[in-house]
Amino acid sequence: MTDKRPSKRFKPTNWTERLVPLLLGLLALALLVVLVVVALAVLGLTPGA
Amino acid sequence: MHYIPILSTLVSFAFVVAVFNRYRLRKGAHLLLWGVGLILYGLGTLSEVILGFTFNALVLKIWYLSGAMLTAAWLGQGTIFLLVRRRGIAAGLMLILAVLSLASLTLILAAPVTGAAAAYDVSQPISGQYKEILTRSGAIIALTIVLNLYGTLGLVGGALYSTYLFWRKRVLVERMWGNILIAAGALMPAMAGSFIKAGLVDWLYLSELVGVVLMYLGFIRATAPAQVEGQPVASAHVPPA
Repeated sequence: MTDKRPSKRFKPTNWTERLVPLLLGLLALALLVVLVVVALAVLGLTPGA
Repeated sequence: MHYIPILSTLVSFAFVVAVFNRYRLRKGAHLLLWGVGLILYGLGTLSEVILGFTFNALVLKIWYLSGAMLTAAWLGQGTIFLLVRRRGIAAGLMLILAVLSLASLTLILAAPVTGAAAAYDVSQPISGQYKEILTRSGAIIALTIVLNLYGTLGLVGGALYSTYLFWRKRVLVERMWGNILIAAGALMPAMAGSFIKAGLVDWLYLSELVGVVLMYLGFIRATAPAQVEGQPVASAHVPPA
């Protein structure tokens, strides 16, 4: 079979090589902060809960 | 202040049309659930528009039910349907969500409105006034927290997980960026809600607008035809999202 499906792969540029992991880390951190604040609110430890 | 929820409502319902249009073409429970979640998002911001002109107890309850309780959970449920392939799990969670949504509706409709409603100030955001006006039982607060945790984890966590997979495999770059935008957009109102819980600055209206714009841009990006080396963009094959 010589029928090759086109590849959907991409080659990251120098700046995306650094930016994407950074963004993933920041967003994961923000998600963690949201979850911690909600947990603190559950425990009644936040002034606005 | 009033114009921000107006913009959010317009963007939300344009987004609803885009999602349902894709559902019409591609099918998929996740698109249907995202559509429902976005209708709830739009109902929440539309309530803010109305509450910016006058006070109405039913509108306040619709605002709390849709914006504070159900939107994140239904959007997150869409992502659960997309990512959880094991038979029965997504459907089982959907059933639980439907029951909790019905319970939320019943509790909110029964929740009393206090005399503080008489002092309602249309020039101030509802997010800074509702606690004195709407009596929230322990069950309502517990449901709000559980539904938001579930929805935020599902939607944001799911988008981050998808981004990670696309990045690790170095495939479908448009979907990777789309998911980053969706995760960032979904985090905006979630973070604003957390700020309010923490007694910090209230930027709910702005976060809702930025959030829905980012998610819409992410959806457009993620559903754009894939760019394939050596092929014109229009002919590139994209499997259903």
